[in-house]
Amino acid sequence: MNDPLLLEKHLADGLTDAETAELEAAVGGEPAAARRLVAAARMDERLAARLGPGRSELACLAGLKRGRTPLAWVARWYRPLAVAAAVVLLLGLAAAVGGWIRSIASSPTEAVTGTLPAKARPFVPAPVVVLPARAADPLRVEKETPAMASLRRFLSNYYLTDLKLEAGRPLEEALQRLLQRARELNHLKNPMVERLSVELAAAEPGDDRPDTAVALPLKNVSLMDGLNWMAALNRSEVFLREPGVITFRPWERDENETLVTEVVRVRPDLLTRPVATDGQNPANAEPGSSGAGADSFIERTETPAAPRLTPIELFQSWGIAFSGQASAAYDEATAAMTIRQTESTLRLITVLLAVESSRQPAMVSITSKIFEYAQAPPIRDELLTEKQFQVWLRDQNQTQGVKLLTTPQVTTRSGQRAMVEVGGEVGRPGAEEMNRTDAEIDWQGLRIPLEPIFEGEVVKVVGAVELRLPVDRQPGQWLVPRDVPPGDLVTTATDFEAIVPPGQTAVFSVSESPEGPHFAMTVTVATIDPSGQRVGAPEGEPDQVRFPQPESGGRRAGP
Amino acid sequence: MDRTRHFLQLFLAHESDLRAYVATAVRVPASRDDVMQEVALALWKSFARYDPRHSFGAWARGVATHKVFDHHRRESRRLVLLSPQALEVVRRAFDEAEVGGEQARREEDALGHCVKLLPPRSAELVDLRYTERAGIAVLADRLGTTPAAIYQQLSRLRSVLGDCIRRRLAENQQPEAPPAASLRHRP
Repeated sequence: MNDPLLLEKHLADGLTDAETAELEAAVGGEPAAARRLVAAARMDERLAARLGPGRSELACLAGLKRGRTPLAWVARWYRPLAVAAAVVLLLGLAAAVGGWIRSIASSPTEAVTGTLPAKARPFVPAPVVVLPARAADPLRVEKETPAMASLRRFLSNYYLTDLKLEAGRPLEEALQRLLQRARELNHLKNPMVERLSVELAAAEPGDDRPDTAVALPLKNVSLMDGLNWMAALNRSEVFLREPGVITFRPWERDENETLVTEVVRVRPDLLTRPVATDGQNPANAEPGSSGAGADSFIERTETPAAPRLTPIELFQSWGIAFSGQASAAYDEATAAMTIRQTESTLRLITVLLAVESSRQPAMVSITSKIFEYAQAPPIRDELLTEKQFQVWLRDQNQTQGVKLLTTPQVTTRSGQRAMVEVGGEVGRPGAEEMNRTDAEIDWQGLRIPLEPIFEGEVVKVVGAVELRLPVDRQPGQWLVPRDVPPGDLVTTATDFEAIVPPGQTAVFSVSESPEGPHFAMTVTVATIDPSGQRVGAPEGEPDQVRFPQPESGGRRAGP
Repeated sequence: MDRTRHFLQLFLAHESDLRAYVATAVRVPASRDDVMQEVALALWKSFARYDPRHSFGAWARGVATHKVFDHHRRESRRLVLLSPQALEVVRRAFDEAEVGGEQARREEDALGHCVKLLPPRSAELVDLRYTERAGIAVLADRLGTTPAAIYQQLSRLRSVLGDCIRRRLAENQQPEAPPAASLRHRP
C-alpha cells in the first residue's frame, strides 16, 4: 500500500469512495497490506480498550476481571444507562411531535400516483443533504497501477460511434455487443481492445436485480461511459481488473423499500437538453449541444431545444419508475434536485446523474493546409506522424513552385458537420439564364465541408474539397473573388475520407487533371477534452488513410 | 467447566481482536458497539454449535461478518467501510495472525508498559485520542497541526509501540535485559 496513512484514516474517520477503492485494491492485491490493516486495527483497539472507557459487551458478566477497579466496572454501564434514559426521553418527545409530523405528511409534493408499497413513512421535510460530489469517473479499479491508469485513459478516449442495444436482452449479451462494437472500431489494431473482456459476478440466490439491458442507443460516448451507464442500470458497479478484465459487481441488495429523500446538485442544463434525434433516450444527445459552437465555420444544424423536461420525465426516460409517494423536483435557483425514492433507486439515480454529468463530449480540432503546385505534385496519399509531417512541410517549403494558400482550422464535435470556406461572394451575371442555383453563383473560392466521426481511438474525417475559381486564374494567385460570368468559373470537387489518429496528419492530392490546377491538402486532427486540453497524440507509424470514398466514385469535376 | 464460563473465557480472550475486526468494517464507533453487542449475543446463542477443535476467533469472525452485513442492510450502507470481498481478505488475515489467550494478555501487558515510556507529546496525543476519544479534527486543532500530520503521528506511534511490544516480549523471554530507556520517534 502506498499510503499507510490510508489505514489511519480508515480506522479513524472513514474514507472517501476513491480512497476506499484504493484501500480495497491494496488489501485485495497485497497480503502485506491486509496484515498491516489487521495490525493497525488491533493496536487501535487495544489502546482504546486500555485507555478509554470500558466497552466489553460481556465484561459485566465476567465480573471484575483483568484487575479493573469497581469504579471502572461501573463505568462500563454508563453507556447502556445513558442510552436507556435517552430512549425514554425520545419516546416522550416523539409522542409530542407526532401530530406535527402528521400535519406535515399531508403537505403537497410533486408526487405521482402509483402503487408503491405503503411502507413509506409519512413525508417529513428532510434536511437539505447535498450528496458529496462523486468522482467524475465512477469506474473503480481493483489496484491502481500505471497500466491501469493507462487503461482507464484509454477507455475514456475510446469512442463508440454508435451502438444499438435491443431491449430485454441479457446484460451479458449487451456487454458482448459493446465489446464487439469496440473491436469493430479498432482501426489501429490496438491489442488493448482485443484483450478486453467482461466478467459478471454471480448473483446471489433470489437476487431479482434486472439482468437485462434497457434499449440503450449510445452515440459518441466513450467506452467507459457506456460501461458505467450499463452497470448502473443493472444495479452494479464496474471494476477494472488487469489485464483489461471488466468486472460487474452487483450492488448490495437493499431490502429496505422505505422512501428516503436526498438533494442532489445537477448540471443546470440537465433538463433543458435537446431530445435526441432518435427520440428514444436523451442520453444520446450530446451534452451541451444546445449551445452554439464557438467556431463560426460550424454549420448551424443543431436540433432545436425541446420543451423543458420535468425531473420525473427525465428519470422515466432512463427507465426508472416513479410511483406512489416517490417524487422529484428541481430547484432552478440552486440547480438542486430533491428526489424522494427508495434507497436502492436513489442510488441508481445518483450514479446515473454522476455518469451523465461526467459525460462531456470531446471536441475535435481539424487543421488543414492547402498547397498549390505549379506542376503536378509528387504527393502520395499518406498518413504522417507529427515529426514526419514537420519534415514533409519543410520539403514543401524548399520546393520551388509550391505555395501555401491557406491554413483553415475548424473545431467541432463528432458527427457534426462543419464547413471551411475561403473566398467570397461575387455578382451573378446571367444567373437565371444559366439555370444555376444561388449557392453556386454566390460564392467563389474554396469550400471544405467535412464531418469528423470518432471511431474507437481514431477520427474518421469525411468531406470534400470544392474549388470554384475563375478559369483564367494563374497558379498561386489566391482567391480574390472577381465578378466573372458563371461560365468563366471552373468548379472541381474531390471527396475524401481519412482515418486519422489524433496528432497525426493525412496528406493527399486534390489535383484534377494533368493540366491543373494542382492542389494538395493536409488534415491534422487533435481531440480536445472539455477542459480544452489536447487528448492523446499517439506517436508511431501511421496506419492507413483511405481516399477517395469508393462508393462516391471519387473525384468529380465540372464546369 | 460450565458452558457459560467456557464461553466467557473464550469470548474475553478474543474480544479485542473481534472488536478490531468489526472496526475495519464499520465506520461509526456507536455502530461498532451495536454490532459487537449483536455479535456477542449471536455467539452466545449459537455457542452450542461451536466446534472446540477449531479456532474460536475464526468462528466468531464468521458470525461477526454476517452481523456486519445484517447491520449494513438494516441501517445504511454508508456505515460499512469495505466491500464483502475486501472484508473476506481482512478476515483471512485476522485468522492467519490470530492472537488470543495468554499471548494476547502478554501483548496487552507489554502495551501498558510501552505506553508509559512514550515521550510527553506522544503521550498527550494518545491520551487525547484514546482516553478523551477526540476526533482527528479536534486533535489537529488542539495540537496546532493538520489532520494529515495527526494521521502521520498516529501511524508512527503505532509503529513505535509495536516495536516496543516485540522488544518487551523478547526481553521477558530472556533471563535479564536492560529495560528500554524511552521510546524514540522517527523525525
